[in-house]
Amino acid sequence: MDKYPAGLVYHHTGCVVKNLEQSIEHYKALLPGLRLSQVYTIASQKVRLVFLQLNEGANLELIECMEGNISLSKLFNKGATFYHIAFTTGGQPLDEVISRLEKSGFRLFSKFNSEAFDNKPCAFLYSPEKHMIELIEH
Amino acid sequence: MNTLEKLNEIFIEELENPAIKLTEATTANDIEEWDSLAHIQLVFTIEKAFNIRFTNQEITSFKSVGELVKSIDNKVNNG
Repeated sequence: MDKYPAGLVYHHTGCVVKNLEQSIEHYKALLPGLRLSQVYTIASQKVRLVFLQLNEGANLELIECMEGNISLSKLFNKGATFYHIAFTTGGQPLDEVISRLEKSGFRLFSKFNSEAFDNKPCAFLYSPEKHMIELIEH
Repeated sequence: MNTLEKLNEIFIEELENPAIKLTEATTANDIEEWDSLAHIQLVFTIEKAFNIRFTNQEITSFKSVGELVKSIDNKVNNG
């Protein structure tokens, strides 16, 4: 199954790590021949990140907090290494997807354009269970 | 304890900054730790503390602590 009925397509799971390069080495040990994206530095969000292609269509995003990223650092220091699940919108406009999810109890808290996705519109929402969901308009 | 004082306690605990002293004019620009991720965590804590629920539009439209206080008081007083 690669698509949800609403057309969202799973893209990645985001996890916070202390040191990006060390974690990349750990995953290379786990998965020899692992395919990596470039390392992105997203100054506006105060993070460095890389995508690991675990399998076709199954990506892991490793995120390292940069100096001054107080909120995410606090989450990490509290032990929250799992961070979010990300979906592309399957061709639907981002705002339409957000409106639909808000009616189901999801709560939008951030909209931005991500340098890691060619400046495409993105958003973070919390599900009713307080799981963080990222949407990428694509 | 009035709403502003209760909010001040919540902000200190949630943002782990004992130096916070909220006024009605305080905005996110005045508190380094108050970014979008911290904002939604504050919203969840405030909703629980006051037994209220903000709309999604309210969550993203608060421009100052004063607006937040006003909204909380309205919800608490009007059930």
